[in-house]
Amino acid sequence: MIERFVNLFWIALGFGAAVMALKMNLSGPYGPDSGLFPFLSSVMVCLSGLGLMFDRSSSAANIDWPSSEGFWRVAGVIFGMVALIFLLPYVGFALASFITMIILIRFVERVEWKQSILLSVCSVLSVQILFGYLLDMQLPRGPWGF
Amino acid sequence: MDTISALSQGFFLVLQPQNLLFCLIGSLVGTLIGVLPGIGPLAALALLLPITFTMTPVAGVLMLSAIFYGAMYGGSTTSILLNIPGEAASVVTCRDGYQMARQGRAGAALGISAIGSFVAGTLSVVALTFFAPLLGGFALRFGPPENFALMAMGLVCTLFMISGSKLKGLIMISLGFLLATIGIDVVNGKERFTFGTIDLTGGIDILALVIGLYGVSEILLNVEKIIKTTLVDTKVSNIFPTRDDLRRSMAPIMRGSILGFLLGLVPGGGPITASFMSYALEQKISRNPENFGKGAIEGVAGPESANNGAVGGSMVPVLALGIPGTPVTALLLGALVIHGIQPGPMFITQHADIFWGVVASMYVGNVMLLILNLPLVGMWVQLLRIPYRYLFPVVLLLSIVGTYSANKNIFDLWVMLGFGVLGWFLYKLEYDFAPFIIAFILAPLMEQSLRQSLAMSANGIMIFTQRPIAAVLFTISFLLIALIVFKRHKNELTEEINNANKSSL
Amino acid sequence: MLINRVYKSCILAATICFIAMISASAQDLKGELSKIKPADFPNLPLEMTVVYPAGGGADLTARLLARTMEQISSEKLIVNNRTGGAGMVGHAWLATQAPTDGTAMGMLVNLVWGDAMLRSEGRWNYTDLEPIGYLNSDPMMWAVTTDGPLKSMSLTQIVQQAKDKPNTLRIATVPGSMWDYLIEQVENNTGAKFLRVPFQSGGQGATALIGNNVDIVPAFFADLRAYIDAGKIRLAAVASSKRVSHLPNLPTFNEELKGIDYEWTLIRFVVVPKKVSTERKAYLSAIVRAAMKDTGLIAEYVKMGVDFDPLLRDATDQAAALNLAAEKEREFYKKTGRIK
Repeated sequence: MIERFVNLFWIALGFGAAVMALKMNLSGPYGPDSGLFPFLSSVMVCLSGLGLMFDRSSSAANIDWPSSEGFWRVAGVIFGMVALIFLLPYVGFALASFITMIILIRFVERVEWKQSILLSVCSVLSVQILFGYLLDMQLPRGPWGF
Repeated sequence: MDTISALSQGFFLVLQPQNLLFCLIGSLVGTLIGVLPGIGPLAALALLLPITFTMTPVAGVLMLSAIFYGAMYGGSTTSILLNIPGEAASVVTCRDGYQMARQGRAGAALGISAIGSFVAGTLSVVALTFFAPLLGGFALRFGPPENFALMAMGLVCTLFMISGSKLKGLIMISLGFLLATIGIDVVNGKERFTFGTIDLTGGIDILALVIGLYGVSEILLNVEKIIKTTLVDTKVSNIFPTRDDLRRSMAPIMRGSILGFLLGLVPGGGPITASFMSYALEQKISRNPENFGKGAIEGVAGPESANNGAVGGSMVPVLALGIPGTPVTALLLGALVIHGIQPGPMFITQHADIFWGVVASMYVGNVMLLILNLPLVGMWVQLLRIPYRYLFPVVLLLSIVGTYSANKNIFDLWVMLGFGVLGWFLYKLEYDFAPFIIAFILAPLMEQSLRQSLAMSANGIMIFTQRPIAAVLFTISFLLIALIVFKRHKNELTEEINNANKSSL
Repeated sequence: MLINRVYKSCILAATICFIAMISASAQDLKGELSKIKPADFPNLPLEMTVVYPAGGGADLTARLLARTMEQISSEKLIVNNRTGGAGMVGHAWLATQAPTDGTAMGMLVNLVWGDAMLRSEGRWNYTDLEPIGYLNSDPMMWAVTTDGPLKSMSLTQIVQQAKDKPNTLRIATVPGSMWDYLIEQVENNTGAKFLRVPFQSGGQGATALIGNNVDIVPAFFADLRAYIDAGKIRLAAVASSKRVSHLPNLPTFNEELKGIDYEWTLIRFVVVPKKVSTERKAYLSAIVRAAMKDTGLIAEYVKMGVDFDPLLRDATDQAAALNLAAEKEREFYKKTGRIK
């Protein structure tokens, strides 16, 4: 079932992109222009999607979807990453990654509080030192200067 | 002989204590850079370039080359241990290397990687020593038509690598091409698929893509099950490759070295293409191709040798002719210019001491890196014994910083996460990412070469038949495609016969 | 002989005085700079963004400048490459996303004007970036190989051949920039017709020339110097108003083609986002201008083969002079129908 949706998605994506590619010219003063490669590739995507719809042998045999608990764990990790990337420009690297590490270690992996905080602080600090000082990269800073 | 005596002068220069020290520092930094996901040799070289201002030219270029080499050595480490490519040239190593690590054979994979890199690096420097001007001339003959033909061949080789449904592989290739067109058309500067945002004008960053698709998705896959302790279930047994491993790897290493060196020479090649082609070659030649993707050591030995061989190969056009084929060699060139040395066709004769110093430093650097990396294998393997629930958040953090380090752009992080989720999803549905990545990487240069070839040709597409090298490469590609079709046909026929036999029983 | 000895001693004395003056002025310089340095600035390292890949001509220019600026002012300066889209990505970032507290600078070339006027789609303007110092100029030149059919032809003869046999001479170009404009100008004025092969930079075009994939390459001196020294490439003409001082035998386009407006020069300069405060702008500008008087830096630039345009270098208001040149380019776009 899911596979059929995915195949439909490929067909739609290929079709939409092909239409957009036609608007960029297919050929111009130097020969093929901006639109040609996108057009050809999107047509290929569309056709392959069609092929997948009809070719039974291509579909995945037993899809190994996670259990409900596994699913929440994955969602938890994704949420943690979203939080990190979202907060990064506002509170700076150190704080944002600390918060995310707490989310991941404490809530997703259910490690106890003391260990979580210790691990988070250590890892954030060492990454900060490694990249920020040793490699002289400018990691984003928060409003408090770090 | 003249070359030998010049080379010994070079060694004399390199083996002086302070130059040796810089070589060591460069190797260490390079290895570290290679191990850290995201930050690649180009970023490291750009960061450390100012330090070389105060050094002598030989010491400066020595250190920078050592970083370049070291990054290639170190890049395989996280690929093998964590399925996160250290840089794009190590993507292929993830395939079998990571599987080997899951089977408790991380040490063997890391060891073979280091040995293969050493052999390839040394062989390519030998070729450089004796044949630099000749090879430089050969590299020059690769213009747009030849580049296009070479990359087309590389793409055909990818078709070999597709495990599972060929249609799904085809979609991945087409998708790779399509997504690579997002951004600015390099030929005429027009925006494609940018939807009016500034972020998309730069296109999708390859690093964010690769780290997301491989690294983040792998973490998501692992997190599903509560991994009580470590990633590796079986006890990590021998740290080093067994004799059997070495025996099986020797031929792939030799093939990979030569293939890598040749591909490093020409602009359409480079370490990434070399690693992919080597993998496809080994898979095609192997007596047990079904082992590939499940921990075949040939799938690590070949590509890792190829990408180091390509580094040596890419130095040839720079040193012999002053033509940089890759961004890294362009930066090395720039470093020389800052020191007042203009690399060019006269470089070897006018600055013989620096040329031979650099060549000698590559020998020394290779040895140094092997000595550094082999003992480290034991250390890296211990890393896998860290309980996964402590390991993966740190790995995620490193992925984020590594991705951010490329362009200092938050958008790249969203790309990384997005492709991580997509990769997790598509992996479940048995899609293979390798064709996607190689199509994505090859697409811009391929498109540019095609359009350039057609622009410079008076009679359109016939230019490909008029240029001998391009014609040869295309013929090989067609033969390879015929081989695939023929083999598929043969498999279907065999299946039919088997079915007929079964039903008659 | 006595005259010689006196002459030599005078030179020696003059040199000593000169060096003394320079070192004294170097001390003065640091003093002067610290006088106009704003309080509590900078509290972060300064970052100079280059929109082209590391190792190229623009990148080297920026790194040499950054090194001199660090020496003069004792400020920490990092050079950062933001590449992509032939400069478009970096330009857009500088104009719209760069921090405006004075820590972000950009080293640009005048190709940014084309990007702003033709391709920014109204999102940013070149005036969002204010020039704080002129660096150098590089006039565009056309070159051919020394062993092809064009090897001894003058520019006039080459153009004539392109007119007699249209679409046979392959010329490298970087689309959408002055490479194209110069070719277009020549074609419009003389009726010649070239076969244009697109590349991303002059350097790539030079490689193609050596490999006999194109017949003519427009490029800048730095891209070609190594091959010229090796005797593989020969310059045909330069697109500037006067002959270049270190190439007195190289005719100009105007001379060869009897024209008056064959002038295409790459201008390099430093900018800051316009919203930076006046004192910080003045401080940074002073550092750049001081660096541009440093004899060491000038010597390095001369080695790269660049030119210094007196009109821009000695202008009291360099920013205004540069903006004037930008508007002239806008006129060209209007005239050739690229802007309505």
